[in-house]
Amino acid sequence: MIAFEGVVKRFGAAEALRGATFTVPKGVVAGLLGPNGAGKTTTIKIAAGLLRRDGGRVSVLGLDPWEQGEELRERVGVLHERPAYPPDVPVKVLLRHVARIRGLGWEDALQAAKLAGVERYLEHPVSALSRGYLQRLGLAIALLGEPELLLLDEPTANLDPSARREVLAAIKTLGEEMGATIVISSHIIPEMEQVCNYAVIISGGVVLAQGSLTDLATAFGAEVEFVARSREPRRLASLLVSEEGVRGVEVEGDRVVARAASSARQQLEALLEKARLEGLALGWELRSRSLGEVYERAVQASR
Amino acid sequence: MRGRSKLRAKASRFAAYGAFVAETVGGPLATSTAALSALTFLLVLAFPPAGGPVSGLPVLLYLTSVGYSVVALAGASAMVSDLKGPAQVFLSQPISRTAYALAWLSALLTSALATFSAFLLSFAVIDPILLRAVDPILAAAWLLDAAILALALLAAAVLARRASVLVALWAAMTFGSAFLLALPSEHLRRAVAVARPLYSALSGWGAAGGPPLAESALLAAALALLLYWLARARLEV
Repeated sequence: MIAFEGVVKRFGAAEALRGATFTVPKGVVAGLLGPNGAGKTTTIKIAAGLLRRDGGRVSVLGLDPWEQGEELRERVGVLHERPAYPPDVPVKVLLRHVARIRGLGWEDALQAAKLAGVERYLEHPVSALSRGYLQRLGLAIALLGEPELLLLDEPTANLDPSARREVLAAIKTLGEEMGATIVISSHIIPEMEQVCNYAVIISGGVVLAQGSLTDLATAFGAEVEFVARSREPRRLASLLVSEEGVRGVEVEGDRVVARAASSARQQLEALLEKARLEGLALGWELRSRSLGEVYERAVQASR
Repeated sequence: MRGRSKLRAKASRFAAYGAFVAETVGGPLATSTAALSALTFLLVLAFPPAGGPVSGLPVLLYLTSVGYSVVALAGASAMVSDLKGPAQVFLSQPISRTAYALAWLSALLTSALATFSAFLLSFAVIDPILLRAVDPILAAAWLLDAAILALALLAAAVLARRASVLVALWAAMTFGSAFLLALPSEHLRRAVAVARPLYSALSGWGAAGGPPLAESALLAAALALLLYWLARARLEV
């Protein structure tokens, strides 16, 4: 879906990207994580064809973003970190024009406005919107035409906690309902952990690590979490708790949640698969709640 | 067939963005153009034919041209402001960088045509016979002059992204040109005559052959190509 290969971007003497290489597969919700000035916004803008790379290769949906930007952006929605809109234009007029550029009608614009939760402010001028609603307007614009790929640059920046929660929930829902691939740049790890299942960690213009959250947790020796459903959750829990590397087991209704060291991943996967085949477990999944730990370790390893 | 529908889609996007420029940023341009037209009308009345309207015509054409140059400067400055913010939102849509620049150029050229049409209309309203005084060469020089100025300002807007650079370029082209035409250097005067055909026509430079319109048209074409190249290769947001 997205492939960066040795991408270099310079702004005068400063190098924003220094040979960035990563891929984002189709269908994931990927977090582009890194501290301020890591090159996240530059990466998003190069992927959208708004900035030209100085070196390397970029492919997004099989297209070169700079050379085939118009074709690419028919299939991509972009939310900028601090989007600036013409201030005196009513929200409705702005949405209608952007929809027309995308070859869409007012109904599509209205649907996007509803999805992003900005439909109550259609008659208001853009300058009358709060930061939170400006962000929602940006989200509505990004959602126009139900794009295959959403590039969201710091979507929760400058929002109050409740607005952050709402925007994150909206993104999560969109990922699930639209089935779109989503790339979210952020430096707020706990938020990314809630919505992402894939991560690209970038610092100083270099990609330090990438992969699914569970693969990253395994690679960096961080904790992983097994969630299993069972008709006999206590029996399954007692089986799990006796395994080496298991750090804690909780039972919540028919769910058993086991936290374990990543070194125990293979052995627990085998155990749960056996339990599933024997009917003790109805199903299980592996997840990671240790993105912060992975991030710290990746940054430390690069020093 | 597919190529034609692609072309139609491109044209439709350009029209949609052009309409947005016209509806929002184009508002002040339209107001300035209207104000300039009203001023032209008053000036036509202020230069009554004392021995014919021709005596006041060069002054009128010059003042209208200066007035339009202010409109073009305002338009190019608006593009600089747009490039610092809202352009990001529009260029994130399926619109090409060249279509974006072309929409702004269209706004400025439409404004030039409207200003000149209003100028002619002022003559027609007072007395249609006065229209005969407007030499086609002078009309062509005025329009080419306006196009060259608009193209130069927009190219500078894309390249420098600073309003101060635009003001400096505008001052050099508007006032510096008139000064340079009075200098003895033939090469310099020719260069200015090509860049500002109206000035050369009004000052009587190259009176035998008239203003170098063909060369000015070539310059306008070269500037259009430069703007196209800048938009394609350098328009990052």
